[in-house]
Amino acid sequence: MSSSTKFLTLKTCDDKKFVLDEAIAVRSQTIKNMVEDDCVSNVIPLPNVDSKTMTKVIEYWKKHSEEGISKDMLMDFDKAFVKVHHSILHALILAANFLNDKEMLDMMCQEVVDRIKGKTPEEIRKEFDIKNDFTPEEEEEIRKENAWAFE
Amino acid sequence: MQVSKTTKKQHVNISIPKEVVVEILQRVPCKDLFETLKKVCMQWCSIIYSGSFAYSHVECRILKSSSSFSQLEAVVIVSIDGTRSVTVSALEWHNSFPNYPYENWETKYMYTLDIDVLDFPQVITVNSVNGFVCFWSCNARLHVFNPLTEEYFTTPPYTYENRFLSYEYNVVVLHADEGLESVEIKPLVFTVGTDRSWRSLKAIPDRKFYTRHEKGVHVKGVLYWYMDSCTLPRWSKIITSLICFNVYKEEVVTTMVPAELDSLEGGGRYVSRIAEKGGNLCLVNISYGPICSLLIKVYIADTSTDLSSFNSWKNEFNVTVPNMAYNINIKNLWFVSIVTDDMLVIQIMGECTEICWSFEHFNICLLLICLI
Repeated sequence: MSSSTKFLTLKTCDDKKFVLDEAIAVRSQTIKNMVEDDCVSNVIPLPNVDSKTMTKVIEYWKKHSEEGISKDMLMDFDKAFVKVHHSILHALILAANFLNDKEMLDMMCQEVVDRIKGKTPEEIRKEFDIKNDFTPEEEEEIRKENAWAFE
Repeated sequence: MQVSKTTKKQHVNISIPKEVVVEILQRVPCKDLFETLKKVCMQWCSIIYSGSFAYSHVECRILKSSSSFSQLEAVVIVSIDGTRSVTVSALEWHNSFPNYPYENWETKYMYTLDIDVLDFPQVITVNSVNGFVCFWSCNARLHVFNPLTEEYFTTPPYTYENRFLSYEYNVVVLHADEGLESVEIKPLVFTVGTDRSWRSLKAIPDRKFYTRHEKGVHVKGVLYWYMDSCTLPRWSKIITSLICFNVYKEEVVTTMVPAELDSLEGGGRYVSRIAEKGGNLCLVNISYGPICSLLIKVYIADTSTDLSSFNSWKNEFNVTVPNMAYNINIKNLWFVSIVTDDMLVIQIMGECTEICWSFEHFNICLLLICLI
């Protein structure tokens, strides 16, 4: 490794530290801005990201920074990467949002959109552990709004 | 006494933060949002119905679906330092406040022109025809931009009375020569790249037009305007005419659309507009429906036949929007910006109210933006 390689230390909300090559960490626009503005001291705190999620994010970043990796291999990696429980997916979306990595955010959101596609509201609630918080009256009203009909 | 935990409502979906839901819903087609996703939970429903979400959702789709400049974007220009330069900005979503000053609007800066056009700093809504941004200046010149190439031209001035325009290499203006007893409306034509001055065509006699700055529609070599006019004697009766200008023959024909397509109970006016839909002339009619709803009807014209006949118009689709009429005075200025199979975008311009509201059903979306 060349002597110019700089390392950054990232600290997640559960106090775990990750030491990462700066060239990889700047995939995050948020970190990149911090580095460029010179406000990086020793440790970059990531108050919105836990260590479990950060491990996944770093795995993704490293893969996508690998030299000589083919497009097909990346596609296979991405496909497998998003096949996770929805709670991890949401944590990753939140992390990608906070870290401002548009490529990753797009990929994760698209996965959720694909999972939503063609499902009924009940199936979506089940898939994502969402509680139906409508009162029966509200539900009726919402249903009625479909009277916006198309003749 | 302790409240039992089971009776208390637990919002499990707190685990999906709002910004994540917004990111996800942004990528979902209109139809799914309104058929399924609004029913999932309160949070999703309220996001889908919020104006800011609707605006960015529509904008995102327009950018995706066309390479040309979005009509939604080309809405505002403002002259900044006195008279010299003009800044064209695209309007972004802004919240509804009465008399919300322009300075506080969120706009996307587009470009500044160093030209002498306005006599005082002001905001003008601009017309956008075929992706070109067009606006009039105080010295009665028409300015036309191509936002993609940043090409720009200005027409020679003309005395400005009635000022209507459209643009398709030709700029056409209906100019009123007003005498004491009579009025002559003369179409003036300016062909870009050829003409040095306005060319005057045969007058349309004995007719006055009232403009609300309606947009012209260009379909198959014919420019259409739909506006109020009155005729002799005494200029008393106001009728809405459809003016058809054949670009190749440079001839004007004035006709009327059948009464069935533009009549509103109670005698209200300004309820129909024309637009282009997939290469066809279409007419959008808004009227009040029962219980504060708005009825929107879209008709397609068979332009090879007599447009004053009801048989020439085919009802493409109707949409009923509940609870919409609370906010809207349909006599206010409104324009139809986009009509496609996927969406219907309508801009409403009010004097001191700004409303942005959106609905979609079966892939039809309506966005109403009010500008001051």
